[in-house]
Amino acid sequence: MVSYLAKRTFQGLIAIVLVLSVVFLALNLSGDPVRLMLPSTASQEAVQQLRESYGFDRPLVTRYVLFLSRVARLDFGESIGSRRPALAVVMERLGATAQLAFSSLLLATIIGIPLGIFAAINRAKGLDFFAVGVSVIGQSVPVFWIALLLILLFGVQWPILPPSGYGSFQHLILPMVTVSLFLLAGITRVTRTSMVETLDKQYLTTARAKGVKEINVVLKHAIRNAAIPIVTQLSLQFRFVIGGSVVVETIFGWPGLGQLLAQAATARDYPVVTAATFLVASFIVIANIFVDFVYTMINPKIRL
Amino acid sequence: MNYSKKEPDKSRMSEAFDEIVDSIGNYFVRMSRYRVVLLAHAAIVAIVIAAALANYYPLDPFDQNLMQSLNGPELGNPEHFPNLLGTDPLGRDLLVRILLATRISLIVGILSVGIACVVGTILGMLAGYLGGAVDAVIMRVVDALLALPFVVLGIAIVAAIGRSFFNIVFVLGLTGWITFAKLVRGQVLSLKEDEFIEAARAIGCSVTRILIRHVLPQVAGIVLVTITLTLGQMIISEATLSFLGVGIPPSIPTLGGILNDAQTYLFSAWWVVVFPGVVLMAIVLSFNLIGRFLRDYFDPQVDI
Repeated sequence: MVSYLAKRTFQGLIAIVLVLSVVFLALNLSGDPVRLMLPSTASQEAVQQLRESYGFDRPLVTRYVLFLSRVARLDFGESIGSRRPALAVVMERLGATAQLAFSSLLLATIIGIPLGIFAAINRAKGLDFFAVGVSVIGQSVPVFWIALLLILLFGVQWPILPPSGYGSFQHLILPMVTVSLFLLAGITRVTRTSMVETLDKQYLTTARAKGVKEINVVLKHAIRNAAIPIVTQLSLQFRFVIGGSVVVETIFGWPGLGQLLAQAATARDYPVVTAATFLVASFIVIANIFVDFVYTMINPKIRL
Repeated sequence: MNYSKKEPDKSRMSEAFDEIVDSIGNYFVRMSRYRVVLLAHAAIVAIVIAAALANYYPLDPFDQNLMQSLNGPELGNPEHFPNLLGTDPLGRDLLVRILLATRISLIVGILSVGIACVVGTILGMLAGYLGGAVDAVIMRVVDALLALPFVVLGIAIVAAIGRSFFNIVFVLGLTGWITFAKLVRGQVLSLKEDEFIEAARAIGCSVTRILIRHVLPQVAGIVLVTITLTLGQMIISEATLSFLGVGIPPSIPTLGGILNDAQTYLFSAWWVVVFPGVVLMAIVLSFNLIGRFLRDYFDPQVDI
């Protein structure tokens, strides 16, 4: 188990370093970053000064090594916008994003898993068609359009919810519903497929033949066996939760990581972009390792 | 010994032709059994024709007229008549802009799926067949790309290399190939142990020949399914980047770009929000339905 953990952590570190390398390369091969950071009216001396202070006058390989060694010390440099450490600027926004991401993942799970289970039990009936419809249509609608439609409906047509902002629970509802509708499709689909496969298994026929009530067949025998693909799907959803939050935050004016990232990208605030990328990648890597431990809880046969 | 004379090429050609006609006929018979799938095919054909003929539409997509700004779609009103779906904030006809944007969406989708499919299939076959170090390197890169949500990676790279048509296709291809690589690798891992591959290896076929002549035909089905399903995702991804202002430059009309402009007029002009989204959904939904049908058509056991 310890050696497994070490191996996964090592692979995760490689993934994070590769991600940062891609960002570093994109940044450095696309022309002089200093020119992009300063307004075009900046004097030659100012350009030279900034170039030296960031070390851009040195060769690419030296800069890359320097970059990695600074990242290893969690030093991403100063935000160009606010002149404060980039990582601190990013960390401030973590709370808002976490609030949105966890509440929508929770909502999507609470609705999606029962919906998938009921659909599998009542295959090819009303509720099943509804569940399949939700998952097919949900996969085909861009998350930002769901957001716009919800604002159009509940902010403009029937103005019962604030169309944007942060603070109260009312402000959370629309962004949370948007992200969870986006997640619902995947969760429902996998739960349904996994349950349909499990319900056909012979050990469930045996259980029924023994006289186990149908409700117990489903709750005690089937769900646990169908759980592995569902948990895998939930772990894949971490990526979509954050991706969805990034898009949704910019629409609802939610002061989280996503809004910051979009602003930093437009303002060419590279230290902030790099720090945000690092934080998101680390979070996803850690979440995926955590899911492996959940597997062992569901199925004791799996040993890490 | 009396070898029968080799059949002339002509009849072999016509046999092959008959086979193709047969399989196309078979496809149509299977397809038309499901009304939804038939409708999806029809929708794609209609959308492609409409987008291809956008140039012949009597209204100019770039013709600004502030007097006609944000006219609603009122068919009865003679003043608004030529603008069937209303006008955008700059008084340009919405329908012709949506048609032009649809064409861009389809072109970007097809190009990026093309890149993703070629790169992903080749790397997936190599990783699965060769194993060892090649496999390890490719899978670490896949891990790295899976450690970031697509939007985050997209924003970070486009922030660095800038907004242009080809940069967007590049970013989409860069993230899209992992789906192909992972699926193809999985297939090749099990194929590798099959006897016909072993036989090919035994008679001294080179790796290239085995992969192209023996492995590729076996994975073609799953690749075709993935192409269809990924196409929809690519179109959504492009729209998302364009919506966030880090996609195709604003001088080219795109569905995401139109929706980005529409965001400001959410409270006064519902049509600029609703129509582009409906078209986007129709395209992606149709491709997803066709993809799901193809998956059942080729191999009912594979779940993507």
